[in-house]
Amino acid sequence: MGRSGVSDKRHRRRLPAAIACGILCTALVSGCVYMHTVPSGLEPQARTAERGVYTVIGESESQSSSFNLLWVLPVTPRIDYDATVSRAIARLKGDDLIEVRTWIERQIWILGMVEILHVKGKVIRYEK
Amino acid sequence: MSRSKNMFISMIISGAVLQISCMTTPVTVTSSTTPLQSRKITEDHGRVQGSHKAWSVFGLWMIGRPDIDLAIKDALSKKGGDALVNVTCYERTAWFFFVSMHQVFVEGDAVSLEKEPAGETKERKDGTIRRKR
Repeated sequence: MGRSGVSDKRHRRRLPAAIACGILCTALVSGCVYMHTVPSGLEPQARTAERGVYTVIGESESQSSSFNLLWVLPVTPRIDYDATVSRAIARLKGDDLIEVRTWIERQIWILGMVEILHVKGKVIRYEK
Repeated sequence: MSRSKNMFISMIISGAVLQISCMTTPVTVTSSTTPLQSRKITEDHGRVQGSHKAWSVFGLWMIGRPDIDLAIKDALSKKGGDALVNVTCYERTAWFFFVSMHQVFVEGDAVSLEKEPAGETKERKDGTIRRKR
């Protein structure tokens, strides 16, 4: 009775450490060791206004990513804000992006680091 | 016994001081959240602040993300209005032992904008809205 009580207490003490260890091991086995998102910008519009009258077509989002082998060696082109904005506009065949919000997602994996730039806003079309 | 108890308490306090901390980082400053060219501000509701937060485990894996959009909506819900002007945005990170909290704050003057006269704004069949600036 006495022995089993001591054993139960030991088990209870080890439980939080086992849970923490389990979470860490799962994350390390999956390969992702760090994942973080940082808001990076807020703009009324992405480009200078061409004409006065416009039509709001809808909400659009686009991403641009880059990969650094072993966290420091860039093997893909850098993230490109301009190209991302252009893709978001082209998705809805508009002329400009307004109410622009941007954020950067950074994922560190065992083999390297992935950076993803997200751009979201409302696509507009200027009236002819 | 009393000495060891005091030592234990002081260890807990010093551990908490070492583990609990916070940091504020500026994100951006902008004139407004929406284009205002040729649009009249009809009412200034005053300075408002809105925020949105996300948590991360061990400061390494973030669950969700701090959303500027939701922070703006939160700010506008305080006093009403259509947009924010003179906007500042910053992020605050706080660590509590094994988790950290990432909170994005949006501060600005909430304003109401002039409603476009009938004929200048029309809802189209496909749901798009036409605006004159």
